[in-house]
Amino acid sequence: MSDILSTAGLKHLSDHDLIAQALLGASAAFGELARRHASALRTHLRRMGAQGPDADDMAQEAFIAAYERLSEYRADGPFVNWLKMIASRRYLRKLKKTQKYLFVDDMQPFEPTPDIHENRAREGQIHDLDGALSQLKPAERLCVTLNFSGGLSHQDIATETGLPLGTVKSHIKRALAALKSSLAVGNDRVAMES
Amino acid sequence: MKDDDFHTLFNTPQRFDDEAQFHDQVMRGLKTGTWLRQGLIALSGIIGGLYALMQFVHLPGWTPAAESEVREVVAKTDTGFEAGLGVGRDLLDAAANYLANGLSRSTDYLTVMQSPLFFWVSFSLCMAIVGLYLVNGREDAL
Repeated sequence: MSDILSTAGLKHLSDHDLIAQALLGASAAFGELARRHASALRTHLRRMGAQGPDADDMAQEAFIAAYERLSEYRADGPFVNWLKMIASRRYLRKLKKTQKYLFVDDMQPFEPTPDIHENRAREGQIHDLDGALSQLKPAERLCVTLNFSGGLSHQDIATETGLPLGTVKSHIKRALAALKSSLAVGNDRVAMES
Repeated sequence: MKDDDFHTLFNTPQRFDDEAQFHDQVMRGLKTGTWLRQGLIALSGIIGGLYALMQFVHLPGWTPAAESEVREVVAKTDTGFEAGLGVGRDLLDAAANYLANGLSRSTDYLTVMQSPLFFWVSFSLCMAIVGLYLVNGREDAL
């Protein structure tokens, strides 16, 4: 038992085994889950539009909430998606409290970054998703991230955000078109420079 | 680009320089939360236990008159003994007074804690805390 619960031993266990160990009271098992999925969760929140320190605080809160309610995890999807769902709901709740006009259609992107492709291209990153996402409107960015990163259906996104289903669909459609175009431009620039 | 490519892109996490630091922060938060919860449970258990115990404690024949007698007896020690103590006399007086006051005060608390008013005040406080806990739990739903 002590071998299984050693840090090295935990690394070889699947998420479901770690959850079972954590439910038996092994906090080290949950520590391994946190180590495994922390980057994914922090990235997900940033892609939804949360700013750095805020995103990290919310990711930490999500981990603590998940630990306290671990017995409610039904294993009907990947564990990381459950974590993302918890974090997303917290972020949406905060948005609804603090930025009531976020979902208005004419809102501008959070951080317009016109030269971001240039910077990332220099670093050799052809598919600069984060740069492209930062050029979307907040509501489009939110919907497309919830759909592709959070694994939510259009209907689930409508329920979580409170937006009409048709609006969610059009946000995602527009966001995908804009992302395709941005990423294609980024690729062309890299190709031309190399 | 196809939808699958987007899924792959979205599910590729960024790299963070402070991964170890963030992990430590999460684990510290978990430990603090657990200790706080256990501490609160222990504290409420102790307070509840003490309160329940107080309901059973009755000092036989305890009246305000008996209280003043005890105070007098404790405060006025034997004069011969006092003379023998010399310098320590004041100290003994102070200790005796402190003891008498303490005894008197504890019986005051006991009387208050056994009154119906105290019961209803503490019961209402408990209900308010339970209510707040439930409201907070609903807001904090996953």
